[in-house]
Amino acid sequence: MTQGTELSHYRRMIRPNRSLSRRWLVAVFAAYVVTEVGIGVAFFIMGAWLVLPFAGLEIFVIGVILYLVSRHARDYELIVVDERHLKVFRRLGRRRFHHEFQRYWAKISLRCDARKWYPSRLVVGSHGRFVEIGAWMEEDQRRVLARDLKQIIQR
Amino acid sequence: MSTATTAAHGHDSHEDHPTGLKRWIFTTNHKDIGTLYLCFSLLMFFVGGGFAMAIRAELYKPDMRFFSPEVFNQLLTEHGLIMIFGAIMPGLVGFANWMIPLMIGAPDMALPRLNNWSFWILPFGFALLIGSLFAPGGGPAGGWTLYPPLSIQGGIGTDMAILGLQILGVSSILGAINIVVTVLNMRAPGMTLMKMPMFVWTWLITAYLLIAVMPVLAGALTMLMTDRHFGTHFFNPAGGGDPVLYQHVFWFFGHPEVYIMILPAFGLISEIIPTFSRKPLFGYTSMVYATMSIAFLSFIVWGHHMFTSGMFPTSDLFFMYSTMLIAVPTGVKVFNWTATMWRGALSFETPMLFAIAFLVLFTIGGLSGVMLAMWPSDQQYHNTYFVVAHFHYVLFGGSVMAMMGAMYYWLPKWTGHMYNETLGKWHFWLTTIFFNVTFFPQHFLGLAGMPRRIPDYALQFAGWNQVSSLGAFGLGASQLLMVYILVQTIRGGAKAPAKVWEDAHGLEWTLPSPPPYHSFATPPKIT
Repeated sequence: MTQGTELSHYRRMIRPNRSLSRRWLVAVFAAYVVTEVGIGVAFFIMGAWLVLPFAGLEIFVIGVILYLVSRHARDYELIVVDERHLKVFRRLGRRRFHHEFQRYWAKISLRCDARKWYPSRLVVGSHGRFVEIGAWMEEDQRRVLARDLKQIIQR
Repeated sequence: MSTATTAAHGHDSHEDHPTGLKRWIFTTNHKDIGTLYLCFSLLMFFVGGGFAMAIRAELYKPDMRFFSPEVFNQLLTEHGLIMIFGAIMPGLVGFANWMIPLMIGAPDMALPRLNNWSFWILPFGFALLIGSLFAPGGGPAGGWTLYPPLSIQGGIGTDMAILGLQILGVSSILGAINIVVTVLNMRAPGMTLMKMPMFVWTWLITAYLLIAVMPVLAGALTMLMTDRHFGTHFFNPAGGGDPVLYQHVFWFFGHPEVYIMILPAFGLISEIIPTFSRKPLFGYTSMVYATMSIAFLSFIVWGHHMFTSGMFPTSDLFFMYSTMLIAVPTGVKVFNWTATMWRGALSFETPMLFAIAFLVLFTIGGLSGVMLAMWPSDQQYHNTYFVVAHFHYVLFGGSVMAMMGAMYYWLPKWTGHMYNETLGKWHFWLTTIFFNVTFFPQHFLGLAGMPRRIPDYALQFAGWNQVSSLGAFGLGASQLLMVYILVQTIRGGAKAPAKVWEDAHGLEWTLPSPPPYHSFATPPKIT
């Protein structure tokens, strides 16, 4: 998470934790391809050729999953408050979202689960349109973010 | 004016909170799914255990007639398949689901929906597997290895079992991929690979093994199916096929499968022993490399299951030496656990008792494994009760005892309540004593020449078989005590603190007991 705060401006970048670099991801996939193809071809030569298609199918599934994982490697949520607007920029996989609310009208709402079973949800918005932010944060940090945002937009 | 859409864009939205049965069906929470896996494993442990009781009743003395030989073979086959694919593997996956995210500081598994599917296809697989017993002609009767030509001759029950196993294979692959991605992609900042708890390491390596060998099982089962119904002759000698080819294919899967069942158990023990020795794990790095070595060697030893199938002597020699090589990294592990306890401030709570029993019993199983690895002597032991004793010492004395110890170790963390220590110790002693009464005599039976997978036997084997059966009945009954302890702990008991054991280390102990439904939404910093 990165954060920058000026007098009446606020900027906060939130990123989920990702410990797998692209290089490692490729290495993991390559390791599986080499292992599976090696095993599949060996059994093909021995006459048990039906192992090979299953190995290929599994490589395909692993490839799809690792691709989906890599697509989310650069997810982020950027919250910007300037003199007129509260803006939320979000990247989820390949999709990018941009939400913009008038700062004067914006509402910050922390919705807590009555049983404290589920995490709270921090939503911002106005005129009946709301967007959830800070879902990647833990409870205390989300409360601090809600408090900071309320203070900033009230200045 | 606002350009926002509604909050439904929040990809981690927790708007809909299903309760009751729907919570368990639709859950994507790693703790819920871990609980489901563990409950399923316990259920299968009793189903498979029930079959074991039936088997031991039939073998109580010669000329018993509880079951026909055909039904006996079906019970034997189902017992093996259910214990391996239903009790041990899902149990270990349950521990992985519950503990890996907590241990690496992740909020959940990397692929939560896939996690839900991985679990919920299991009951369908087992419905087919167990339902096969009620099909016309009965279930598979060729042993858990499903060797042709027996498995080619079975009725529709064999098809059901094969299809069931394919489904279980899919579940295992999806679960393993999820574990790999979780461990590699969701570790908390600062948690480098060499700082991971041993349980996480062992599961990472196990998941690699699982992913590597499951297509081999899928291929083998599919070839069996095409031999049965589509006129192929991969394994059918009547059409020019080779049944020994099936043995090669099956055991290329089957031997790593053994390590898939024992490596996570090594990880569990590596968590328990340091805690109750009040010392860090001795030789962490060597433990990691030993686990990797065992995993690698598991790919090149499958032939030791086939010493009597008529392979080339050079192949026999290769498999003999490669198998004996496994004793080296395994010995490193046993040495390290012992060295961890050496001069430690030991205390003997129930998890530690199970861990020490694991150490002794697994070593006995390992040593009988070295005996079986010797090609000349295996000619005598092969297909005898010595093999049955060996793999029960490894799988029950190893995997199951480790899981029981780990259950007591983390039960207060999961439920928020302390279990009854006195009853836990009773459970331990009854299990350990009856386990040895059941399986140690089987060494003698095997060395005396009693073949495995027979519903009746010569009179000379009667004595030790009676001892073994009595032990088995005691062992089965003892597990009811475990269920009582479990239910009692879930329902109430002394409040467990966050750090249940005074010298436990790891991120899971930084969370309250029970941990919140969503934990580590932001990863902790590891220093």
